Amino acid sequence: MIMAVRFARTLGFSGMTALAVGVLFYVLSVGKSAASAAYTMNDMYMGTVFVFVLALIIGLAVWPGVLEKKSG
Amino acid sequence: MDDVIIKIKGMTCQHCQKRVHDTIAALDGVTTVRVDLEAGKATISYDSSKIDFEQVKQAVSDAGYKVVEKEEVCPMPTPNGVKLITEGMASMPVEAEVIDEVPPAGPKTAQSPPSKTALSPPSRTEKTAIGVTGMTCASCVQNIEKDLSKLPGVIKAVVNLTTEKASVEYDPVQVGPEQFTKTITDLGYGVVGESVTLHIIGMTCASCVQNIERGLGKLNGVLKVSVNLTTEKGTVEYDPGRITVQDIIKAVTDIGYGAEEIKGVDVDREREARGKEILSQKRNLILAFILAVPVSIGEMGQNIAPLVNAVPGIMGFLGNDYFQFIFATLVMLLPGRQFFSGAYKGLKHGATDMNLLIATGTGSAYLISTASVFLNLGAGFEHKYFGTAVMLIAFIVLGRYLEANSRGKTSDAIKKLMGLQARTARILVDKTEREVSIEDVKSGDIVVVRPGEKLPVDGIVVEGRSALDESMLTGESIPVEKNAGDEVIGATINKTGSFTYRATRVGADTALAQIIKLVEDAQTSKAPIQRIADIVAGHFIVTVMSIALVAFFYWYFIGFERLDIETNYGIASPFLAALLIAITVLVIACPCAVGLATPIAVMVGTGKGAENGILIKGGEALETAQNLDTIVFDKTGTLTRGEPQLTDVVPVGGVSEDTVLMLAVIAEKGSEHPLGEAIVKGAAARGIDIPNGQDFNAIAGHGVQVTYEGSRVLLGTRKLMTDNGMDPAPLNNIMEAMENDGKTAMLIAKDNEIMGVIAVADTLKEHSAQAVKYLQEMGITTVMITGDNRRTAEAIARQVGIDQVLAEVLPRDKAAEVKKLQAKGQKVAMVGDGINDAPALMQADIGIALGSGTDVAMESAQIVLIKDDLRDVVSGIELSKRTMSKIRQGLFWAFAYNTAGIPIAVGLFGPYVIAPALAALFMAMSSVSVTTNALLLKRFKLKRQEAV
Repeated sequence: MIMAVRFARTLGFSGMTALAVGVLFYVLSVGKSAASAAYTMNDMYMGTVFVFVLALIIGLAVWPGVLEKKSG
Repeated sequence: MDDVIIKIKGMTCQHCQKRVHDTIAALDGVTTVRVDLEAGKATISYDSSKIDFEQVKQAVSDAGYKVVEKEEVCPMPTPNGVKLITEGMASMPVEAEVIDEVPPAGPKTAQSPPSKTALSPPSRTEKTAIGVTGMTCASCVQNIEKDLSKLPGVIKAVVNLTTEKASVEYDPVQVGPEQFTKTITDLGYGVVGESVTLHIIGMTCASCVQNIERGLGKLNGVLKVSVNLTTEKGTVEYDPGRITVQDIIKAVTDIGYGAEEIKGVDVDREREARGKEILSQKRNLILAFILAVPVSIGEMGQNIAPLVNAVPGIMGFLGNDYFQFIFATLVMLLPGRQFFSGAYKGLKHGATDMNLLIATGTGSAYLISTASVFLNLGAGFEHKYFGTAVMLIAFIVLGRYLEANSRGKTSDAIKKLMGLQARTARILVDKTEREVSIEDVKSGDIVVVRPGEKLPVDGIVVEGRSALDESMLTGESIPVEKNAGDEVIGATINKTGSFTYRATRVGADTALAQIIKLVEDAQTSKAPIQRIADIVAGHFIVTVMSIALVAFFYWYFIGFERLDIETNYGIASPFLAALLIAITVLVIACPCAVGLATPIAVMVGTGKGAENGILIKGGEALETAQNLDTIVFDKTGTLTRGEPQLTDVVPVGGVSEDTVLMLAVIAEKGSEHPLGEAIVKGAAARGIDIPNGQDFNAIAGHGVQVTYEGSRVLLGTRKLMTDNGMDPAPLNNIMEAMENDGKTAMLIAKDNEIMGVIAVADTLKEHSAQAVKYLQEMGITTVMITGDNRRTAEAIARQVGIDQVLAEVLPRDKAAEVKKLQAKGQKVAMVGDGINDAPALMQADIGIALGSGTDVAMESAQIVLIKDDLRDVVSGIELSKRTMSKIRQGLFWAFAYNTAGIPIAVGLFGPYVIAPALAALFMAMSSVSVTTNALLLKRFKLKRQEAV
């Protein structure tokens, strides 16, 4: 149970971090596509997904340590 | 007449025993004395009208020892106590209780086990080793160590990537192996069950086998059962966290059969596990390449016009999107599955390892390509990256296969040691020889050995003589003569004659089994440098992921346009352009070589040592030994043989040497005095017949008197001669010269006429001087420590060429002397063999014990030399230096690969300098080269071998 709660918290924080990075990428990407025709919608969507996944993985690795330090 | 038993503190060796005996025996009024070294007691009979007990106590005290009052507790390190402290924990509850009995506020003397006692955990602790599968890099090690350490009650968790073992020290009240197993499996790794072989009694047919197999198979915690009717053996693989051997035996008994555990070394299971891993990776490798090569050719071929023109039909087929998708999917699902499942299991627990990097890199390339096959992603997405994804998998699997092979080779030393064991033994039962399995040999059995045969167990020769080849254990190539009463070691080979011996140590107690255990433990331990490497590697993965993310951002938003990737590299999509860079970063930066560099070198180094009779108890000892600048040698038994030998016979007045020696032997025949024994042995070696004397009379402290053919023969000191009216002055120069050389000179007289001088001394061991010379050549200061007087000590030091002498040091002060040297900033190793050396061995930065020494000394030391050859001290230090050098080289190259690889992959020198698949090959090669370099240590020649 404790493990599940801990994982849920980690997932929550990691998800929020990944979401923030993904949104940042998307916003910048929208700006970029307005300036250059080379940037298609597909690039924007897939780029956002890739960034989100990578950031989520980083978050899942980093947040447990951070939360542990905070709680203990 | 009074009898008294007194307890004496401070006796540590036979010299002490003799000194106490002689001191008490010399007292007027004492009739008999018996001193028991082990019990630390003396039994004295004395005439109370001539002497009182206080005078006895005073005499003992004057000799440098102390009569202990009843209530005092002797702080001498007991075998149990020292073992406990050496291991740093109570591996068995009984041992914990032993240390608990030592009063914490007791008087601290140099003989008390030093500060390491304080490091021992206050409560009872236990230690367990768990076989772990599925680890691939240092991050795996970090993940398991971290999660195990988090469990309440875990004191220390050490995981070794190379041996694939997790060693956990824990408080059994709070936690147990079951939780460790769960934690490890929850992280996505496997736990290897333990195995026990049982001798099953009462089986008569195949259905008995079925009954037992079925019955045991149902037990919770039993993983695998195999029962053999013919051999009457059952092998049970079980999870020690859920079931014990006793439970299994009880279950067999409940089914209706008898069972007992067969203790011994399990050679085959280890080999089988390694073999399975190598086979599994080999299958993956073959499959990966069979599937990946067509995909890769199909992908590349479309861009190579001559290739398309040459074989248009095939290229069209190989380059087909659906063909590529199907083959790539098979690669992902079959050989590639290990990376995805590993990454998933790890991530569930916030653990990152190389699987994650591989899975992210290959998964991204695969997914984007799959999407572009089935969806219209528009311009720029026409090109597929299936080839990149599958070649990445293929090269990484190649790396894993080569690595598994190399790792198998690192444990060759253990395999060799295990392979030394004989399978059967011939024992005498009712005076007839019977061949039995080695497991059936019991202590006390009489074993028969013929020429050319391997000794099955340890024991003592009862009858016959032979020469034994002990090279497999000691590295010494010359066979060793064995006669009745001599100790023999199992696994050695009988070269010449037949003989019988009584088994004394069998199964897990044999010297070979103990050596294997010690080497295994050493190989599981970690060098301090490895901890740093592990921490770096652990953080490295997150860092690499972050670098990949930053690189992706850069190449997507800035690099794509700035370097006009579309025109220059033909990639129209900024996403794909940045993705390729990110994948390359993820793949090239895998730190598996960093994690492998240290454990592989430690394994090879300790294994090389073990093969040559140098047992190094772990990575820490290896690391410390390289920095030694001072070696302190105990004198007696270490530099010298520890038993006096006849050195000189000087006749006077025209008599022959043999006559002088014969008279001396007549006087000493039957003597139990070490000096007397040396004279008798010396005469026997010269083939002199020894007639019997009469009226033997020992003159305490002066010598002996005996009557031979009516003549009075005296052997002893100058004072003995003077007291009997003779003048020893003309022989003074000869005697003084002998005494200056550390010898004990005695005069021999017949009928009040001095016939000659005879000298006895503790002689140097064969290679002591050579060892000291080698050490000095290495820039190491050599020191000799002894309780002898300065003149004798300096005489020995001159012979051996030692730099510094610490003479007249009481046994209890040896540790303090070592401490003084350390206080000067010196890195000190202590070489010793006796119980009295144990505190000094523990105080020193490295304790080196001789295998011929006491168990306590060997347990207190970090390095044990099986062979009684001091040149192995030099070899041990050299081996440590070479091993550490290999570790440093390994770490350097591992970090160099990553340090050089990341900037290239990120595109610091331009984009796509290195393709993702090539990055995978580089990564695989980094692990292989680091492992191969460490394996070169096997070729290193020890000083002793060079000398030969």
